[in-house]
Amino acid sequence: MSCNPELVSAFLDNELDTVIVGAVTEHLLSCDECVQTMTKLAAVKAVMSDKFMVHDPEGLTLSVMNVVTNDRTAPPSNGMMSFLKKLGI
Amino acid sequence: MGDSDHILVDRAAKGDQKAFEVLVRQYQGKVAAVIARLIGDSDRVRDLTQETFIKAYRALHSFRGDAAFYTWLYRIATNTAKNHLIASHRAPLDNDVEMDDVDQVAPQLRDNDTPEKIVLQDELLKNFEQALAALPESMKTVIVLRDVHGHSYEEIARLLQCPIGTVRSRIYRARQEIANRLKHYLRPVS
Repeated sequence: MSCNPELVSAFLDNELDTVIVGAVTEHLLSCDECVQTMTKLAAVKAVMSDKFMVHDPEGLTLSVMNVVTNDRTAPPSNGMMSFLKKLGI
Repeated sequence: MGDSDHILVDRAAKGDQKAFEVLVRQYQGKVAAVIARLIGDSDRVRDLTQETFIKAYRALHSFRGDAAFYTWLYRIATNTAKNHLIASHRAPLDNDVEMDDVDQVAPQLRDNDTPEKIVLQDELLKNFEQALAALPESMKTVIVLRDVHGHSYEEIARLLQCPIGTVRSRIYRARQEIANRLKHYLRPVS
């Protein structure tokens, strides 16, 4: 599917039709522009409802993901668990 | 749990970091707001928000989906804030203290905010109020009904007697307008 910021906004509200939620989610996983749009819109949604906005939300995401990417204490995935079980570990 | 959260959490638990990134982008603002409300120290909000997501990532395998993902994340955020309050002030709080108790502690801690931080947050909120006031009435109404009063798109469409597609479009355009006016705060910190 192509970029559609209206659907990104509706995604944040959990207001997507069941038939398209999978496609929009897949699109967000592969489109940097749309996830950056989502970050901005989510910041606005937070200031609307909670009267608080985190400065530089893009930078905060990158900081979190930088730690996650290099995290060695993360639990093994389900696939890894199955693999370890097969090895009898 | 919403369908999109279900898809993303499931993928993230299987090691898809991009799926976790989408969850971070989606919820970091709400998590930061919860922490800010509890600790009243804006300098630490960013660090504690990051800590919350890292704890969530490490514990994803234990998330069973009985509650909504955000409810689970909210609990991690409030516990992270509580632990920060205990560590910072050595308050004799029980480890299982309810967050209502923390709510009673937090207002006193707001005294830790420096005048500069208060001015910055006040300035942001002032700019936000101006951005909201500048919206056309049709856009302002829908975004307030959605984000302040929590109405669904269907309820808003019924209240305003317009198609759901119009509601969706106006909410997006209202958010985009406000984002444009607050772009100074959305840019990287220099």
